[in-house]
Amino acid sequence: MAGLGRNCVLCARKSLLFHRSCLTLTRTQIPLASEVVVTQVRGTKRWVRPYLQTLLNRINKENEWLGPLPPQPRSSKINWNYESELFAFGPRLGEKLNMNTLRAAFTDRSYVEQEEERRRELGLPLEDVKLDMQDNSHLSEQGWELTTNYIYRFIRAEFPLLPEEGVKAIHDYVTQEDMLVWIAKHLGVKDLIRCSTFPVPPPVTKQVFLAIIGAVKHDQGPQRAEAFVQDFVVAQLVGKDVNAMWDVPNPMGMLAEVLQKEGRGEPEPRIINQSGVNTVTPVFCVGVYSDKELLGEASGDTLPKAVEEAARVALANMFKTHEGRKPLALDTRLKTMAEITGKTQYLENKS
Amino acid sequence: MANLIVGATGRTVTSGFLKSVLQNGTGRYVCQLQRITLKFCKASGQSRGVRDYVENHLLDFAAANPGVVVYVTPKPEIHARLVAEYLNGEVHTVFVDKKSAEEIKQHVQSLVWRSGLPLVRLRKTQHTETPSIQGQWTPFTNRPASSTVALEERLKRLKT
Repeated sequence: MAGLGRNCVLCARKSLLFHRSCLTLTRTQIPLASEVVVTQVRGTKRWVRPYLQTLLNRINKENEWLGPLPPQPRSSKINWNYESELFAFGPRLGEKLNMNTLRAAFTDRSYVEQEEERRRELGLPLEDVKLDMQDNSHLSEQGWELTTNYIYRFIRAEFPLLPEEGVKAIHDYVTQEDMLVWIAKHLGVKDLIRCSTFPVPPPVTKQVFLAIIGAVKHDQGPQRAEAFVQDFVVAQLVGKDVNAMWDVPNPMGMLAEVLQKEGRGEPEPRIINQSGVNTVTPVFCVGVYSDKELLGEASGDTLPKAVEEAARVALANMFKTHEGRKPLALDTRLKTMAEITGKTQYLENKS
Repeated sequence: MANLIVGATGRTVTSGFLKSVLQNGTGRYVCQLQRITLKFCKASGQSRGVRDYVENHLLDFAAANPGVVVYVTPKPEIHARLVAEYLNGEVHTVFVDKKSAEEIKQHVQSLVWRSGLPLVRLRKTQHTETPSIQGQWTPFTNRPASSTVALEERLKRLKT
């Protein structure tokens, strides 16, 4: 019978006697006091097991009716101290942050409004209703500006030959809401957010995460904030296929454009190898040539598919985003922006 | 603790590969232990080691790990335990009844070093997402384009 109860809704404690069950049980089963005859019997208490079994059945039935318990915020538990949690947030990430800045970064506008509404309902005078509480709108704006700027610069430095649309696609991938919420969740942001609704909606989490970047910039300067973005946001590109982020609708057309711009011959797809052509599983290996030079090759189960894929591989080879390129410069040697700019110049001189 | 199941062999225990949470360590290392709660009894003999740990070692631990929030919750007549909460939302509990302060210190340190991912049997001690930078081998790999034509011609010659 151990582990019988789950967290009680009424008193938020783990208890064998589930309170909503107890209420109904006491109402129905306890007889009037005058009828009770108290006797003490020594020996095996044979009533205990059926009694607990009855309780368990009742709990199970109620759980079926009511469904699973709604998610509770971490702050509803007894071991929770907001100030300590807030203090631990900075050292965890290796940042020295001011507590007031951090508090503002974690406060959503809806929380301030909710608190003011509560004061208004209490009947306080109007001048006391207005709270002197900062929210994160200003910090998140700053954070977003810095993040988007840095990521654009980083991608341009990493892939200098990639057109601006491709750079934008990678930037959009790495700063999409799901990604930022995922990162924020894994940095322990989720429990600290002060918001009027629970569970915290993803846009609010995203805004808080950006506000934290803004707070790092505010307290420690832009360079430190850029390192933050690199370590936690740009690092999510590791092990991902950059070409999959940019959906080119007509790769052969784009390849023709790029080649024309460079003054080279038109792209010409040719079958390099094929196997099992008259079977249900044919393979066509297609290479794309320009001026008798192989730009890229790929396989597919139909010719149009293989041609399209080969054009994509050719584009990746031309933009230097192909498989087997050098890994992203995420190491500490290239942390500062000055060095990244130097690297860009080096690549430009080389190409 | 999967490896404590009676009769568990290498095949019944969940197995997996080394993983990192959120590319941890690519830029900087973030300790994945978010908060630790020490639950023990103030009077019980079995919790004596925990009380000793709280008196002699806990402040040093808190000073050395400012990113970990420590809660101390005495509760009468319970099994002494360390409840560790990780950044990925996982909660791990270590029961420390009858353990000495030194042993508890080691347990706490191992909780600090963990990633919070469930304990699994590691199939290998190293792992890579890209096993081959050259790509998968196919029958067409390293085969010059002209060789198909040459092969067909040779087949024709053999037939005639």
